[in-house]
Amino acid sequence: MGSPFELRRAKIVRVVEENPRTRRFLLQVENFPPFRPGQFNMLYVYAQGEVPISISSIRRDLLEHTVRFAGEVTEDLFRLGEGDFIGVRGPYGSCFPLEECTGMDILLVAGGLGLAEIKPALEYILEHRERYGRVYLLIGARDPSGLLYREEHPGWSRKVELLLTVDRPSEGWRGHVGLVTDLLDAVEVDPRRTAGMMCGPEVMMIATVKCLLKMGVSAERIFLSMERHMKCAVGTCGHCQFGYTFVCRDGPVFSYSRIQPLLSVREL
Amino acid sequence: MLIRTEKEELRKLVDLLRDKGFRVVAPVLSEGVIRYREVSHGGELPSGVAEKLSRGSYRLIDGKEGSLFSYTHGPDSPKGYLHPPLTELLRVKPDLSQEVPLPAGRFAFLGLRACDLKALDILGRVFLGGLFADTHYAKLREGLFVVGVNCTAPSEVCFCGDMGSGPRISGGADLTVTELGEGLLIRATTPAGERVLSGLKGRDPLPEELEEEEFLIRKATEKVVGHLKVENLAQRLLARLEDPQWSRVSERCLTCGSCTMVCPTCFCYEVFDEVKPDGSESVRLRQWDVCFREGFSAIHGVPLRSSVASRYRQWLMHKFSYWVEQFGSFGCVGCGRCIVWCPVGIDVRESVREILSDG
Repeated sequence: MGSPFELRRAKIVRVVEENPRTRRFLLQVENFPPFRPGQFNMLYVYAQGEVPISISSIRRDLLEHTVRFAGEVTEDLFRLGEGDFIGVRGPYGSCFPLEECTGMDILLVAGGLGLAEIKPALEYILEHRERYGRVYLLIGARDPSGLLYREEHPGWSRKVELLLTVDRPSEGWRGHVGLVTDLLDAVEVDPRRTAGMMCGPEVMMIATVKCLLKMGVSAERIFLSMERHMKCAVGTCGHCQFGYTFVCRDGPVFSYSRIQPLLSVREL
Repeated sequence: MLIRTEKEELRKLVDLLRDKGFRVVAPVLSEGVIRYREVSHGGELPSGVAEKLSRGSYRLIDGKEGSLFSYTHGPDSPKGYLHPPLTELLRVKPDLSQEVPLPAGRFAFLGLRACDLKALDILGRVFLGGLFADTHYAKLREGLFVVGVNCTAPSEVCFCGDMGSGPRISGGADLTVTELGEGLLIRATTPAGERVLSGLKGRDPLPEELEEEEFLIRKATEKVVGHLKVENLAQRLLARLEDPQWSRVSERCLTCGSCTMVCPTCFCYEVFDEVKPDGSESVRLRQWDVCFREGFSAIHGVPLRSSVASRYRQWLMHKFSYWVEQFGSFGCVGCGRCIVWCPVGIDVRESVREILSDG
């Protein structure tokens, strides 16, 4: 029996700078197990430690992670480049139930770095576009530089409705300014057969859930990807507890109906 | 198999288990309390010692001369051996080659009360019941031998009866001991237990000895029930998540975390790296962590639970509500240690009653 803490060697093959604080790391890992949109890995930097990072693409040739500079481990990770090695273990956690949502209209909602978590769900839908009805991707960011994967947007918008908004426009921004929930006004779906999937700051998700419920989307078909302090990823260190759940084990993707009693409780 | 034997035989049991290759862990008198320590011979077991346990207070007192189990339990539990305070998880080299330093176990736990047996069952579910079995816990648990004790000396802070764990042992032990006024009754409840018991001198018990056992356990049972109503407790507490009473019940809490250290089921840990001075190796370690620490919940350095009330709520809700959904049982066995070792004497039973406003 292998220890759940053992790491696989991952070679950094490419690093793409999304913005000054966000980079995409493409990793070569031998025999990495199958994974699903919404799941995450633990990335380990030698002598520094681990961080939980969602897998930001369904591609199998290389493992893609989009990382924001946020602490000591990511600081060290940002010092590494192509040809360097890090450790990786996973995949962990629950996924967006895309197969179960076949035949439905889909609303994908991402706030900031949350798009890294939503992107594999989008890619899955793009690969199986004929299985879904209307598909919307709503992206909100603080400012235009926070809108990730810009070079892929044209390809996406050929197959799904892509709507963008920012809180603070920079010069030359001609798109929408405001909250991501504003974009829902432009959405036309059949709420009785619609699934909503989202990732972003909690306040953004709470507001989005409210809107979706008001539109008539069922609580069982609204899925949120939650963030808590995940340290072990295997449900035994206790840090990522979110009420009666472990985000690493039961999440990160939850149906709204599962976490409804917990979601708006302060300091939980 | 059931025998009646002299109290001295229990000391022999220690030697017998050591001869069979077990690391025997037993109650010993040390540092002014009953501790749970690895022993090298039966003479180390305490005798004629009792305890006076109450809110925020632990005192040793004289027990009946020659008695082996007239105390309840000190601050330690077997958690410290199966989920040690500090564990090496992984040794990593700069080229990311790794070694898993697995510990050696083969423990025999002697003198466990029903509450601690239940705690072992609960910890087992945490570390071995999920998708990823914890190799370190599994290794330390491997070949475990347990000598349980039907508790006839519960304290005023015990509520194992309410939590459904004691005072009578109902599983999880290889041997179960009941201390009578004169002598002991020892039952073997597993094949391993029978093999060990056959090495001890004894005779068939007399009917009055069995009656005495029943009387003692019944008397103990009366003391450990009626402190907490557990019917539907998980749901009832969940409905009070945003109750203003949380601030009041946690008013005196110092967030010191003593309760989590002495709790036989609190399992949370932190993971960190310790690097050799020359950088040639980095050891990944886990160390008991405390949900009362502000940084415990921090994401990117920003704590989620800043107020003391929110941290106290996390701990209490975990024990009596969340745990049920997470692992299928309460996370509390009613041992009362958190009440005894709380420096300001917060009584968790009272906290629950206050939150539910029904006591």
